[in-house]
Amino acid sequence: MRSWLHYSATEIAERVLSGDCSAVEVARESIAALVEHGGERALGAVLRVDAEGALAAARTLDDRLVLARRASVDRAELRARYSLAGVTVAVKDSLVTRGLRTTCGSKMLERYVPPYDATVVERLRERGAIVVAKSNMDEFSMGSSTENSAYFVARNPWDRARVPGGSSGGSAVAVAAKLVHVALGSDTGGSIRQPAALTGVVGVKPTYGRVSRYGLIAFASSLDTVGPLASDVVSAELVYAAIAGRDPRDSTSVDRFVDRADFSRARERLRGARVGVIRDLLASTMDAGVRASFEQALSVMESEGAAIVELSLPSTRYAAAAYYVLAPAECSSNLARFDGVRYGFHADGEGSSAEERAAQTRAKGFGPEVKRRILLGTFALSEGYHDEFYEKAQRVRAMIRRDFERAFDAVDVLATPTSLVLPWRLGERTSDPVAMYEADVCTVAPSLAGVAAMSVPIGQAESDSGTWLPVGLQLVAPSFAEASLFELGFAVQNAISPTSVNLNR
Amino acid sequence: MIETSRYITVGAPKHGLNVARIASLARIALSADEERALQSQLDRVLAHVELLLEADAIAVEPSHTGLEAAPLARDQRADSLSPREALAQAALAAEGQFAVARFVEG
Repeated sequence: MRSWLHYSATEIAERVLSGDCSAVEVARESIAALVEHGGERALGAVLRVDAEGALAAARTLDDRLVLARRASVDRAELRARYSLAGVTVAVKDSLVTRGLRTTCGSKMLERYVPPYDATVVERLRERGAIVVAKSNMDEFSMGSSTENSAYFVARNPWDRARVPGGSSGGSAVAVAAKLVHVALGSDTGGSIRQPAALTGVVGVKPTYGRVSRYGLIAFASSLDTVGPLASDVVSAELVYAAIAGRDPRDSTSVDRFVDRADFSRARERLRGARVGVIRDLLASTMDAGVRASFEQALSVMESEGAAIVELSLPSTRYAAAAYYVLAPAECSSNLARFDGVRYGFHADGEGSSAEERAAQTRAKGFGPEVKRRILLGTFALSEGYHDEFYEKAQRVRAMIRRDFERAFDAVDVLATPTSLVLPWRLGERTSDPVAMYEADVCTVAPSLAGVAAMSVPIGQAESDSGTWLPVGLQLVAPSFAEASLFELGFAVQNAISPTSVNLNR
Repeated sequence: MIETSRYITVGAPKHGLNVARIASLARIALSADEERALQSQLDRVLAHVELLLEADAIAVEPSHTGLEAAPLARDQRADSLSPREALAQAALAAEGQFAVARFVEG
């Protein structure tokens, strides 16, 4: 029998609503798959599986649906209320879950049990989604490979000797290996899009302010976003629609109507679309396989009737540098709260001063990449350097945003490779923290501009070790243009239809 | 100049970043080994971000927020955690408050 995990989120919701299968049955399959393939000794996708909580939620949902069917509640009404009925979800460990340990990939929060749910988690539960696991990640979302997890590394299901990207690497792996239907991630400079690309799934970074950050453990508050990962664009949109929209508990969440994508007009939309290609990025060094897949994707879009327009966004040249000042600066401020007093790890120290104890707590609780970024951020904010680095980076950010606004006067959407490189070998880059920074340029630029972006799989390229590795296309749309972004992504995915590979069983 | 990867080349930074001083500002205790390693790593990161200094941005106002178009919403009164829930994870709590060792010495 075909596993329920091989159905898309849309299909599963439909089946569970109609009673073809129970949410409990589906949750059991996911739990078993996660235990067998998701843990430390296998793919390293998840930090913990909440079998008890997931089954309890599934049972409650099944009971409610039985009652609703008995009372002949209208199917359309049920579908609207439980749009994610029985859909299994892995939630990145940067999002707090009530009563379920949330570590953010750090020793600092090893024993932290949140007293509340993040708004996005609450909204998924309300729609009938079943949270089955907390997924592995780079500590405090800092990294591009999930090797900075304080617990264990995650592995790329396409080639287990390679990284799955990061920081939402565990979420991407859980979806790619079909251990869950969908996942939530957080994206500050590419942390949803890049692992999605490296594992061959769809990943969406909504417009800043579109999705509530309440309950997201903060990294860089002016850049942090929450979004979905799924194996197809339609499922990603379904999750997005459930979590987007104003939340009074996040003052940066925007009160603006969340319009839905209309996939029936997707092909039409691509036909007339003006697709911008950023000349400045094409000049970057990139892996040959990435370039070839990207160019092929462009020619497929062209043959579908899109017009490819080359344009220049000159400020993107400074994007990585600006990002690696702003994000660390904000992180040094956000992570100041981890001092061992209110929650989290605390170092014992008889007789030492409170200040020394805090310094010991932070020395032992944070891993090397987090320390690097806190120190870099502290430097950028310190007296004498604030104007030269922090404020300059903010000016550059405004320039980048202006570049994107101008670009969107000329084109409907921008297309770039999501990552300039194919998944690299585990350990290959850990010794050189600088090495990856510049390869993030395609994703950090849209993050600085605040606009909506997504990564869709466009095929595979052969690695130097002879394995086939996925490549992602990043589509970038103006702020709040998610609906058309999803439609275009859907049309591209259909036109290219990358080979479906059974990665797991 | 050192070739750090196929993608970037960095030289020595123009600015001096004193890791020991920054670490004390950031309240992170470092071992001597850690301090040495971080000094060379951060020098290289700094050399890389110094690219910013080249950008001609005098005429541009700095952008502080994630979204220019949408001003922060007004605060609204809402339910939050009870003191008991908020204190549940504290290292030490007393009389309904977080308890800490004396901060101001002497």
